[in-house]
Amino acid sequence: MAEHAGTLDAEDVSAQQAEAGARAELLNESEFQDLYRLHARPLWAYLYRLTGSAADADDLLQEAFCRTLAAPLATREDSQLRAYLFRVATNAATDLWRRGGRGTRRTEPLDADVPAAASHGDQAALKHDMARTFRDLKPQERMLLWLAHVEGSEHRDIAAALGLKAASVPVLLFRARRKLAGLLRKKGYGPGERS
Amino acid sequence: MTSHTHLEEPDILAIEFVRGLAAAPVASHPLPDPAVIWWKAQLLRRWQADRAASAPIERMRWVELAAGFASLAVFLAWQWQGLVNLVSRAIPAGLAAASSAPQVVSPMALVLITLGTASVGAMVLAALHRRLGREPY
Repeated sequence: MAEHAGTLDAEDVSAQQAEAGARAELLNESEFQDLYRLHARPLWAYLYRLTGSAADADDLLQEAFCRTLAAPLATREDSQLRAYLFRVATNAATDLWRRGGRGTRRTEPLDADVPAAASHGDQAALKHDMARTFRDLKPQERMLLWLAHVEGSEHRDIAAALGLKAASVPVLLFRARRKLAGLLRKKGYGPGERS
Repeated sequence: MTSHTHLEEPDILAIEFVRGLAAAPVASHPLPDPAVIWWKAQLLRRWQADRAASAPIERMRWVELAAGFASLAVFLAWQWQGLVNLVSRAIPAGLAAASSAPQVVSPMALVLITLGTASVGAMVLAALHRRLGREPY
């Protein structure tokens, strides 16, 4: 809505917002089931990569869906619901870290992420190493990179999710990319260094 | 999805790494049951509705308590002299006679008695308030 605001009068925008507010309704059970079926797995993967803990990812997933179900939503459009869900989940993860949740739970790599547990040793070791490298970043850097480059979120959406100014998102994103590239180079992931 | 235009090699390396990580399948960890989440959300919604409905009652309890203490203070200020006389007369004659002091209670003692009574009363009221205001679960 914000991107169209420049072409609309302020009155039109507030009228649209009032209309959207009036239309806002809670999700019903079948809408929730559809939402869960479509987005729970990618959301869980995001949360698992953020926290490194399957139990934390489970808790945050439940929290995100509960918060989404508690709020009247003005839209049923799939991409907007997905963006909203990721934003709520990001907020829940941030709350967890603020409460001091980080480090209270041991990170529990799942079986397929543990090199010894997999049949294809090299592949599994690589995956495990990738996950560990990602966890070497700060939580905010992980969130920024994932939301921008996996979810393809707009900078203003990322800013809203992380409580940042929209103008600072590109700068922080740039720094996060460079930091990750540095970590990858150190581990020999640079071009032509490791397949 | 963000395009790779204007990005340098380290940026592309980082982006491809993150996308590769997202594409890597996570072990088949079972997701939480959606029925449980739905049920939990309904409970949470009901609890929030209950809290919203009882919020004015909760606020009124504190208003009642404050009004009670204010009334007590006004009453004490208004009837202070009468209370002093009443307490003086209530002191047993034998007790007064046993001491050589005149049959007048010092104002400091009266203040202490009143404060003590008020404190005990406040504690009883607070305990009752906590007891009555406790959530049933």
